[in-house]
Amino acid sequence: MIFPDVSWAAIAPEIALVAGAVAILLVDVQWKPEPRVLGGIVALSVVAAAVLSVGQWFRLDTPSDITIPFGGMIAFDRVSVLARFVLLAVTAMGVAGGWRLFERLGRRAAEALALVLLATVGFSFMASSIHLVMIFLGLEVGSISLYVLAGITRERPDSDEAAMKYFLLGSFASAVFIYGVALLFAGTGRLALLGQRAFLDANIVTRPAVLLIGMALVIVGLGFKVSAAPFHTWAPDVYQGAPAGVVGFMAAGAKIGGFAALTRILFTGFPLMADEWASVVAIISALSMGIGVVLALVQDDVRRMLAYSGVAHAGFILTGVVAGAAAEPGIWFYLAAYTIQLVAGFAIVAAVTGSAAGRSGLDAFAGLAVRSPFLAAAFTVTLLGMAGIPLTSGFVAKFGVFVSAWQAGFSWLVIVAVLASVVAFGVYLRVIVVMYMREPGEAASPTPSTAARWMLVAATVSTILFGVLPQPLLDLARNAFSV
Amino acid sequence: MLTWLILTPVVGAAVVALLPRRRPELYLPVGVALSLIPLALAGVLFFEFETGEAGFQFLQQALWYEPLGISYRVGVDGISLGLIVLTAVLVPISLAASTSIDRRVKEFVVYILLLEAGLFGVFVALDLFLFFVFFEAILVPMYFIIGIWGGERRIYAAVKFFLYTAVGSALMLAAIIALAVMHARQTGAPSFDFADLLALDLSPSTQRWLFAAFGLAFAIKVPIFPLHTWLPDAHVEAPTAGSVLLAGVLLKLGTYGFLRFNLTLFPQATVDLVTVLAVLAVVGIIYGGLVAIVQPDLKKLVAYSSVSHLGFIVLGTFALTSGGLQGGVIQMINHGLTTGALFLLVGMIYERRHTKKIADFGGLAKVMPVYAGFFLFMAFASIGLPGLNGFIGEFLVLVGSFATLPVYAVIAAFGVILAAVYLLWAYERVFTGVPDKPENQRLVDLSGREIAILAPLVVLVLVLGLYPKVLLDKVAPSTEAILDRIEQTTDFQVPEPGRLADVFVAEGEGR
Amino acid sequence: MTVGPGWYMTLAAALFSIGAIGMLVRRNALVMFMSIELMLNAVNLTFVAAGRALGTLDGQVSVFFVLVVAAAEVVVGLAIIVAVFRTRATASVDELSELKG
Repeated sequence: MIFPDVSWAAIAPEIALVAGAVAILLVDVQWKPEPRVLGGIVALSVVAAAVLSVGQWFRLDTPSDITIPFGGMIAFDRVSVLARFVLLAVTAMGVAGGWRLFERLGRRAAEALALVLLATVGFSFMASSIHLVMIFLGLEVGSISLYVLAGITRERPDSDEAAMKYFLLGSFASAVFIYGVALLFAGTGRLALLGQRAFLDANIVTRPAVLLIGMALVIVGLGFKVSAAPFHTWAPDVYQGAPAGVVGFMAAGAKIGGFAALTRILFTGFPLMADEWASVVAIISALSMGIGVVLALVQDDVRRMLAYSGVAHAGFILTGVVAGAAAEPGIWFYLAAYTIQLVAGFAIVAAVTGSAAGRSGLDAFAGLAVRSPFLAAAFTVTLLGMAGIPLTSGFVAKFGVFVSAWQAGFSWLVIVAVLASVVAFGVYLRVIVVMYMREPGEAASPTPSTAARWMLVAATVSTILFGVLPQPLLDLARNAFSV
Repeated sequence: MLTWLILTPVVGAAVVALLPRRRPELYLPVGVALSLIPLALAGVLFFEFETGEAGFQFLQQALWYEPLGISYRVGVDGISLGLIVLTAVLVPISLAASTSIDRRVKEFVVYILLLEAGLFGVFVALDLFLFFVFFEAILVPMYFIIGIWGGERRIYAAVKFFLYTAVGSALMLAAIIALAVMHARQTGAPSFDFADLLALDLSPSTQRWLFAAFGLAFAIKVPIFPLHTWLPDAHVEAPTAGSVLLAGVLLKLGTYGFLRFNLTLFPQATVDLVTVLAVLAVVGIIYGGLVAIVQPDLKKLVAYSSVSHLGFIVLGTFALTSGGLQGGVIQMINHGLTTGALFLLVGMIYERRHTKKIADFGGLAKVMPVYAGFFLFMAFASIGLPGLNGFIGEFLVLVGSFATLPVYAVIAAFGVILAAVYLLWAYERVFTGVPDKPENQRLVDLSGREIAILAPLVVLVLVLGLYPKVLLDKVAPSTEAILDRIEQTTDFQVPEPGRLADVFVAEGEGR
Repeated sequence: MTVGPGWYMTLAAALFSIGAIGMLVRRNALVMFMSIELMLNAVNLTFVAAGRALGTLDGQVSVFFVLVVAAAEVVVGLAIIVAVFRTRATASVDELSELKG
């Protein structure tokens, strides 16, 4: 009997996170501590995972250094480490930004925090697996945790409505994804991505219909997860209904996991069929950008606005995906820049309209510049970053993927993209106008928690820093890839 | 040196931001004092500048993001030098003129200083990526300046301003990416370096597309008719300092961009499209002048006069002659000085009367003789009275464009007459006659501070009017180099009288 | 006539389509959920049929994973549906209209 090659080093960070989740649940049962203590455990396990990831990074000598332990299910390479860095940053910032929510949850805080960690584990596995079934498992671990998190404030009707919509459409997407996997398996006889690539290398597929349908379904399934149009319909409702404190993490985590899996599948498994999938992805990308920005423009709820802008951002990232593996550093820079802004944006929404509440009308932000200059400034930087104004990380990110797309010959897509970014300016400016140029009403001055305050400082600084000096982060991203 | 120029306003903004909240009266004076540092630097720059050199000076370079060929590369030539000095002069003046700003003064000063940094950045950038970064980044402070401290319809104006200019620059971004990718195809590595991109071999049709993408961005900025509709709104709503910088410097980004990038990167397309631009420029000159005549609002009148004046600059630029190009550059500076001064003057009267309607005034010359004197002086400068700066610029443009675009030059000459009509007629209605309205009879004349604000502009107007050589000598080599490049890369030849600029300058001085 | 794996695949495709259509046209949350289960079982059938045709165990093994995931989804999904039902006494998604814009 052959035992699969076990490499604890490859999954050490995930083990740390799972240990953290289990510890939270056990500690909570035994001692019923303050949420603050549980937050400490989260911090501890996230830091441990980060340290272990740093260790992994240095253990892997070169970008092309890749081993595939666990019978070829996990890829131990710098790509997965990089993805995990971004994911851990988002997790830490998400928990810090939504800390008020966990405090309010009281006894249920343990549950929520454990779910946050488990979702992180799931998405982390999505990024580090190189086997379709393993990707599916990561996807489900992450998604199912998020379904529950969306409804964690279950006494509010719009929260459990959000949970149900997320659940139904999310599992529908998962089913579509796994059916695509099954068809890819039927077409190639392999489930490991490298195996599929080798198969396509060695064989000429005479009847590619099954393969093509399978690939289309995989793209559609992941398109749901990253909320690309036309599979985005769940996003606005879920972002609006779920408690503000976790939406940032939910949205960012799902985007990271989804794009990690999508790029891994397309670039590692099926680079030879790039002609087929690139045009499909390009169309999805154009649709996402167009639909995202136009619908974002007409929203009166900041969260729905952020949801639709998230659709547009999925489109922008997909412009990098169409360019193929050469664009991967750019895609990851974009994901890092955008997800940090996303988490920061929702932390501000949570601070302004209440971390457990659903919906966040634009009116709640009127005159925020007077009521809380700090929050208004942080939100402005965040929104300008999302808009991609130069000297913010958002600009460098957009620029990077656009250059890749143009180099790959998709100049029409780049033109659509730059026009969409102009419309997107209008989206974000509306919020800035309301914050700076409308008189504050009766509303009180919102005060973010200390954790959220620090997290926002970090997010704002990183948005500007990586906008002015993108080189270190870009180099880091490039060092993860052998391009 | 140039890096310091960009950094000092940023540092200044940080200093102002850190001033204690208890001492709001400090913000403006400190801001003015801090903005004198870049002015001093610009002065040093001007006098250290090696006259007679065509190329870029004070070059500085640092790798920014190597794999994409993006570097931090700055330098100054004769074209940008004047604009830098103009910016450095106008910022302290407009700050000093902003005492009527009564809320959120600190933020106001911060935004103005950041705007200044961005403007310096645009003018010194020699890497297209860097240029675009600054080009876009200046939208943000300007947007806030209009949107927070503007008039009644400020939000509408601010958003319109932002989106209009953003549309143009978005396509320019696509074109910049296209250039870098073509560089990668032709040499193996992408580059955004201006000098590298000049060496590209572009087919005429590619040139035309890219010219259009760059041109749209700049045409909106200028603004060239029919893309000008954002301008009156933005000007009318903006606070005085905003208007001064908008008209004085921001509009020049468009004409500067045409001159710096369109003419040099896409010479063939430039030659092909001269007629289109010339038609639009002339339409803008006449249209702006006519609309200005019928404006009931002083500020709007000055705003539309900008459309007309900028038309001259565009016409001169696309005349592709020494006179036209030099006149265009000179006129950029002149327009910044005179229109800036006119906006200041309108702002001063607005602070007193809280109206800008021409009909509300009358006979002000009796009540405020000093003010009337300044206004008349600046109006004359703007019309182009010989001996004042506007004359040199417009004269050079007209003579220069007569060599290649005679018909357009003749039509444009009517624009000069229109300028006289709208400005002098406005002067007549506002200042002459008897002050019959009781509100007007009690107006106070200019204070010492206000005179001190206007005085430097008057001096510069006189200097440039009487001795333009000080600037022309620095400009000429750079514009000649552009013409040389066009002649070398296309079969266009500048007609013989077109390259004899110095003769015209001498003549201009003589009158 | 033998019933080859192609037939199983076709059947699975039909089941999957029925599930997907059911998901899209039905408005009762429970029925929608059952449609999803149908889709997942179609996936299982595809895995088994393909695994058998290709002579590899991977297909059958994958089925276990899908089953486990489906079970986990059932637990969470039913809990959510019950929570919704408790607050509003309906399981029709049409009546869930708190969120729109």
